[in-house]
Amino acid sequence: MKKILIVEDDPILLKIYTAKFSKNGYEVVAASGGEEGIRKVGEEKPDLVIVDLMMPKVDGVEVLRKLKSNEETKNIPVAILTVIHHETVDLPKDLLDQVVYYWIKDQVNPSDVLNDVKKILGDN
Amino acid sequence: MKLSVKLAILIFFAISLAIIISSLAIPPLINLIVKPLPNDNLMLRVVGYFVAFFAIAVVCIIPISIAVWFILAKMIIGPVVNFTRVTKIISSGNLGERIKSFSKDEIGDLGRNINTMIDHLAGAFQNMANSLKNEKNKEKELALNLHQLMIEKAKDDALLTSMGDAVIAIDRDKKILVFNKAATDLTGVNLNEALNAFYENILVFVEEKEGVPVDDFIKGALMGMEDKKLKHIAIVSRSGQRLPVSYSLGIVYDNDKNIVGVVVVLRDITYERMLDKMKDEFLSIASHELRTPMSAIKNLISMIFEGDYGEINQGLKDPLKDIGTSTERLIQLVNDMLDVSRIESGRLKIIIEDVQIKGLVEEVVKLMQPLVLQKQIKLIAENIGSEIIRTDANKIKEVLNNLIGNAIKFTDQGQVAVSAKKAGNLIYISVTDSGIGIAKEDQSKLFSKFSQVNTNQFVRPPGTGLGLYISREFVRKLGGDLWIERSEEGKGATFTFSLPVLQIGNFAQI
Repeated sequence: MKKILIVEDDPILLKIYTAKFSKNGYEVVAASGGEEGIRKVGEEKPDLVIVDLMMPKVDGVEVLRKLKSNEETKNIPVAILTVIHHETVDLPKDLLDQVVYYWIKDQVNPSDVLNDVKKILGDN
Repeated sequence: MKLSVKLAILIFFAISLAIIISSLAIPPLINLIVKPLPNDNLMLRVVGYFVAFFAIAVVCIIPISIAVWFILAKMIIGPVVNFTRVTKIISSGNLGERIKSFSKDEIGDLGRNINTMIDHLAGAFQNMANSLKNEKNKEKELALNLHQLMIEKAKDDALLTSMGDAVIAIDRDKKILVFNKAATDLTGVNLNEALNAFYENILVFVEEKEGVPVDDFIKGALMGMEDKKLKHIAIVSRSGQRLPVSYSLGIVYDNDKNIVGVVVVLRDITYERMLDKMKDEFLSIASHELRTPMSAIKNLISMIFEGDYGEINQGLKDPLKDIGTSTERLIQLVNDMLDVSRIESGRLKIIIEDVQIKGLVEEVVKLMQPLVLQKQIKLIAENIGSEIIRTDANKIKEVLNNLIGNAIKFTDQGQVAVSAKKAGNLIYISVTDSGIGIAKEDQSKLFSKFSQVNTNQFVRPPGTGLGLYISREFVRKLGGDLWIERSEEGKGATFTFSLPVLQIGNFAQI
């Protein structure tokens, strides 16, 4: 069973994604903070990491940067949840290039995310 | 008449008179005195002659001498005594005395000369007194001016010292002439060190964030170049501290329009930057905190709908759909209000890059196709050239979203078309629909906040009333404008916005 690690600090959103993914055959590991996320990626070695960049209390960009610069974790695909709209997160282009996929939170629902995840992991 | 002549005449007459009288008097006197005397007494005869001559003297010589003496006194001695008197008075300081009467000879001339001399003396003294008075007046005036200048300087000093902004005046040789207290506070450099120093050694400007050096705008100003109005610069103080500043430059010219120097006013905007940061943080947190629960609601609704939580009662489908719609509206409203917040607090972030209009329009049109499918109208893009313009792509996407969305909302048949045309440095993009149109009287209120045409509760189309306001602000911040090109009730509408192809000025961040 493929493993997805989600870095998300809102408990309800976490519950939603976990429900969606686990119902469709994925093992879901959750991390509600940056430190925890980085540590767990190293420990659990998931097949995909999904980082929510729009967490008010956690710097998602920092997490992404650390994952991509750490030898152990840099090859694990990371997808990001970001925001709609004309606001752009200050994601430097070099980091954006290392992201395998991004979703605009307000425009997708969990089913859309699931379909994309299946595509990313080659499980169509 | 010359004195010598007068004296000669006097002597002539005196002697003549003396001789005549004695000639006339001597024989009778001798007859009278000597003749009766015995001839043989010589002694007696001699005494007799003596008496006779004595008598002549008394009768003639003495009166004549006295007369001569009187005349001489009047002619010479009198005036001389007068001269002595007058000159004594003069030399005691009273320059008012003058010789009063003049005989017609050298003595008289002397008298006149003495008077003239006194006049000149008096004149000279008067001139000196006048000069002294002038000098005194000038001194007083000078003292007054000096006093005035000192007051002015004290005022200027007080002004400069009390100014919160740093004021630095630099002459064309790049030396600092004025450096007020605020300048010292800002740079950590004392007045005596700054005065007459080269400004480059005292004022060091860098980029606010990265700390890399910036263009020397002072040098530019001294050479007469127009100020590029650099933003986000900081000054590096003696202690190495980097302080964000805003500046204004005034070039000083002389009467011949030559540049004499430059006055730089610097303001420490650390506080303003902090406020901006606080505003940004607030907006950021507000948007995240608001979005998170709304995202959750939206996601849960869709998952419930899709049966992820088990099959749902048919009767629930409709209310669930309505919850979904309401949530969408709420999300849109929050987004819009955050935008308005950003616009009004001046914290709107703009990123300029090369954007191909055709691609942008086609992307938005494609994304909005689902909306028109439900309505049996067409949404097309036509006549979009392959212009590349420098603008903020995401903002323009929003504007197109809003205009096309509105067009679709108000159109039940026909089509919505997006077109573009270029004229000079501007590109005009229009969204034309064949919908219900907007009455002239409603058109003016369109772009104000929370305006909605048709306030009938039941027919009010979903929308926040902020879309057009935000769209216009976005376009204006990008150097263009948005307006209703044409509309009539029942005859559709055309909204047009303009954008500059090339940005004038530096827009990277507001």
